[in-house]
Amino acid sequence: MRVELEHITKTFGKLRANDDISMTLEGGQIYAILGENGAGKSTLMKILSGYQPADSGRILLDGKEVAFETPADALAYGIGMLHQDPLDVPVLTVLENFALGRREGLLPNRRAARAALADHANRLGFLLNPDAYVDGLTIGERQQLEIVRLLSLGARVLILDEPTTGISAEQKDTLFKSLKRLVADEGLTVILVSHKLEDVEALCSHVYVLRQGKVVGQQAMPCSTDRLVALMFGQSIERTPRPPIERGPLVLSVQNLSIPGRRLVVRNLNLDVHAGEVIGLAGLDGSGQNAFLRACAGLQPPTEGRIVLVGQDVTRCGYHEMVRRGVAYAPAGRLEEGLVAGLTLTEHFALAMPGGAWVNWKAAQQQAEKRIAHYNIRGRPESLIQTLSGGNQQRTLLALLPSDLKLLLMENPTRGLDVESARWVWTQLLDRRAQGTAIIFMSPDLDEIMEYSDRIVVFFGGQATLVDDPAQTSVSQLGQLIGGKAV
Amino acid sequence: MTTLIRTSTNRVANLFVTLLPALFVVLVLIGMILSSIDKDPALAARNFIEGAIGSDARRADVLMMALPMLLCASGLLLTFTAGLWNIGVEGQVTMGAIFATIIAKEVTSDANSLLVIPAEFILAMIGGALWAAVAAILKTKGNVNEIFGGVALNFIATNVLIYLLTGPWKSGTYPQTAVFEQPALLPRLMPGLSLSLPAILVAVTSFVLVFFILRGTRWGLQLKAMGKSERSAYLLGVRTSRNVLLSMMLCGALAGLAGALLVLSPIARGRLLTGVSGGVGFLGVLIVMLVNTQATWVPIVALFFAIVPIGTLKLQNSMTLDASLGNVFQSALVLAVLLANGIRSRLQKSASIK
Amino acid sequence: MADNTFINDLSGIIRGGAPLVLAAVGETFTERSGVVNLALDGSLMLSALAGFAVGINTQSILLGSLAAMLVGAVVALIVAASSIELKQSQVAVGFVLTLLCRDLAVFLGTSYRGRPGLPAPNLVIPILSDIPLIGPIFFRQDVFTYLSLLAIIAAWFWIFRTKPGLALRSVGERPATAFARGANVNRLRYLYTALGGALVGLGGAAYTLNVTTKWSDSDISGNGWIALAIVIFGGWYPLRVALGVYLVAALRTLATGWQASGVPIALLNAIPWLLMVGTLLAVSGPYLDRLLKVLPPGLHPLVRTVLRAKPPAALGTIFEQEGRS
Repeated sequence: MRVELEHITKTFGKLRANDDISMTLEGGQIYAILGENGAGKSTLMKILSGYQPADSGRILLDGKEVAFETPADALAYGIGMLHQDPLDVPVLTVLENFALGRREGLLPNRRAARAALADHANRLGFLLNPDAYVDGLTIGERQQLEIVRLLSLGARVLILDEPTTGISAEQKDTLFKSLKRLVADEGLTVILVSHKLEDVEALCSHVYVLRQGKVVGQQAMPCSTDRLVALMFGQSIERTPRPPIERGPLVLSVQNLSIPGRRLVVRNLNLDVHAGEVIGLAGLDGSGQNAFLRACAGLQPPTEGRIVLVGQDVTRCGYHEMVRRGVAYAPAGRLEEGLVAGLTLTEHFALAMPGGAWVNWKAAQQQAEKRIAHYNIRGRPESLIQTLSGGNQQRTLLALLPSDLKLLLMENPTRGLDVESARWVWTQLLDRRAQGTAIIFMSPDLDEIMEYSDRIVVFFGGQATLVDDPAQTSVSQLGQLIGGKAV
Repeated sequence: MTTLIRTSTNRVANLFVTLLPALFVVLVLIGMILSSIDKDPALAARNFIEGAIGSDARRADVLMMALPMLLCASGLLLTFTAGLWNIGVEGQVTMGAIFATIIAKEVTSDANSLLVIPAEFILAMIGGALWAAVAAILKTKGNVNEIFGGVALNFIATNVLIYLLTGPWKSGTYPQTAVFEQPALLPRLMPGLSLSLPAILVAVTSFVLVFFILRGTRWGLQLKAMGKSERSAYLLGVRTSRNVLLSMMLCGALAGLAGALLVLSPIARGRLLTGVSGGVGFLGVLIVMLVNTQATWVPIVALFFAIVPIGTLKLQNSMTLDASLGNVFQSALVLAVLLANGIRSRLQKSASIK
Repeated sequence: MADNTFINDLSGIIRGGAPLVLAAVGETFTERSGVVNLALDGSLMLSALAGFAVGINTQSILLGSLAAMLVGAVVALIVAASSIELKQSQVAVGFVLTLLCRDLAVFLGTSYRGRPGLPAPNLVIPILSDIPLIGPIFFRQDVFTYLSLLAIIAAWFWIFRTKPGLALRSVGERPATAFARGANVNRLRYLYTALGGALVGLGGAAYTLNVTTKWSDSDISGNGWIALAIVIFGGWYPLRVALGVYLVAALRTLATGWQASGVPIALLNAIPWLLMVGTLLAVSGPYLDRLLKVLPPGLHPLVRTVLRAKPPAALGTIFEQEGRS
């Protein structure tokens, strides 16, 4: 099936997410939509798969114009999309999720659904337990379920939105093999939305590059990485050089730590962190990195072991106590957890500033103005925090942190940020590192982990493996460790 | 400060744009209901206005009626700002009345009211605060939603009241205590009018206190942060559990004071009766919802709401209309304003798109 | 002889619990679709009045029940519409509406106080009613009780055994997914809210046209809140919800027994509320985790199913389709 997008435009308020985009996708190929965060890739694919209507433009399938009201409409035409966070219902089983949306009568035909599930899964080389609950699956497995479901309902065009974030190397292997088979054997069209060059190079035959809502180029693969990078960013990116730093005194010592997590437990973790060190935590979603960070912040009490901060046992300390001792925790969900939507910038600073019972609003406003200037935040003291962009919210979050921290715990420092904001965040973090703060961060982006960490801790199934010298490790080796393969 | 004033003026405009049409609609509907039961709406309106503000005595009654509402609404401003639905305020009022009665019924005719009245107030505050603490602890330690905890405690408080009035505290044939001696009751400012200085002082002071807490203190800012996002506030250093307890207890204390007024004030009966709380707590909730948790407008709205029970009293006497019509008006008005707010937002949104 | 009283008591519990069963099962539907109807208490009273008034004016139980169901559905739909169309908080609107409906019921009901009612006919089901023990309890009842029993079974079957039931569950848990699978989320919310509201209305009618056969606002007031709490206690499972209702009804029967032996009635009336707090503590508090720590892992799934009370994840939220204005 040939898919043609003609002059697709979509605007959100003042932001032109898609600006007059046109492209042609022939059947039986694997395409890539490449671009950095915020380029408009997801929006375009959501329009193609029926989740959102375009403001203007047309979609043609095999030359005929179509209009979708809902994603189910689009699927009826054969277009299905796998979201970055797969759209399933966590409290239901794999089988129930598979059956949801099938065209059947009043009573579900369990046996037929089971057979269909097994049939399609085997074809693709996926292993899925129909009676398992979805909230117990990894992201990779949830992806597999959704792909199987889309195919079973007749998808001819499969759109995958950033599928390789947060899955192991093994799962990625399986996924890519299956995709290649689907395209070669059954003539499907696959569209890969990604910002990862190596995935694009490994899988795709054609690339469309998006930047700031427009198509800035298309290439047939293979082509040089530099060429793609140039198209994506408009210039070649420079890596921030990381100056080597003297390892300072011991800041944090974690001994035999065991923590109850959402699904599994972190067991017997041992780690020493020194001032000025950056430790990156890698692993699949839910392998324990999050629990570890929260335990270090005092948000989750460990069941066994000790946490020692600058020589003092803080294992039983709560979060507010840890903050007093010089620990800061920056969550990934900026508005959900770190900032208060509905409060102005001044109010945030007033809240974070130490002081007496009465708030000195004048001083708070001055403080806000100072920090806004210093951190280059695009916003005014009286702006409500939710009106700021993601990048500026992250700047505010960092501006709210006290200046001389012993330990900074970051859940996902550059989530959803464009490259410029991400680089700015790391400049700030490396600044703090130079001042002696120890930083522990987690990220699903292996590139980020490799680039900025002095040492890496890989989590798999509750166990932690220490990688002492990232310079000697390759990204693919890291990916295999994440998937549980010993390297 | 300038920013705070600027947002206030916007809210003034908002209030009128939604309040007036809503008021109009509700009055029309009530008129229709009255016609359907063969009562003349125009006559009812005349009687109502005369009954509420037709004489000095009635106007004094309205002011005194507004005081318990002002107390409850002030306390509820704190809990609403913190994001809590303190529906249990009714029970806290009842408990305040009960605790005030503990002293009031023991007072003899030669007691010194300068000692007795503050004691009654303090005890009433303690009673309300304790009852609120139960709901708060159920929430923070037991994860029981404060609405359900509050509702259950309201009914339990009513049961305790009935038990006392039909049992150990009963005097005479009806479920009520004996009338309290004069020193226990709040003194009139001047004969013929129901105005009482201690009551006015206590209510106004409480409101002013809450006003400044919310505008100028760190604690007030913490409550506001909690109300908008509990999780983020916690991570920013706010002790959320402790603030839930503190704000609920402070609200309970003010509600307890309201309970004391409902028993001891010149417009009250001077004894403890069933149904003493009279829905004042819920009216406080309605008031705070009506002003969208903006403190400035609470006193005026409290006065406005207080006109209703005084006026409907006249309606009950002269036209045999049940006093509950007043309650219908109050709750219908708040509902209409909520809906009007929603309609206005929706119209604004579609206008901005065009 | 003691045997007979026991059976009579059980039969009375099933009968007395019918109105709350209808209301609680109805609310289960509503909440499973993501809408919380906090106006339940007032709605119960207002629809009870409507049922009573229409019933004695038309001398027809059927018309009275239909009127009650209509009132219940309309009230619930106001909550849903305020949330879906006007983006107002369901809790705020629900609370104000419960006060309004209660006040309306008190005001409009003044002329109906003391007037005699219309008892619902008893229906003895042949053959089944002769089964020892079960027969007299379940099959010698009135129309409303049969409807309540039917409602429990129908609700369980619909939610857990049919395709539309699966769609309902997904709407309440993760509306984005339901939308992606072709469900019209808001339309389903309206439908199930109306259904739930109608059942609440029927419960109201069951009070005044059966259980008490008179209009008395103080008798009904408060039961709606108990129904809301029971939905939570029942973990949004119809069978467990019904069990919760019968538990409350049983305790009330016991309480009337204790009254005879001298315990003051005012304190006995507090029992349902203490029970309400107790059940909410049991399912919401940290006790489940502590209990699981003590028990062997093999028992965990069973204990979880029996005691877990996780609300539908999207309860009370507003569903906005992305990118549409």
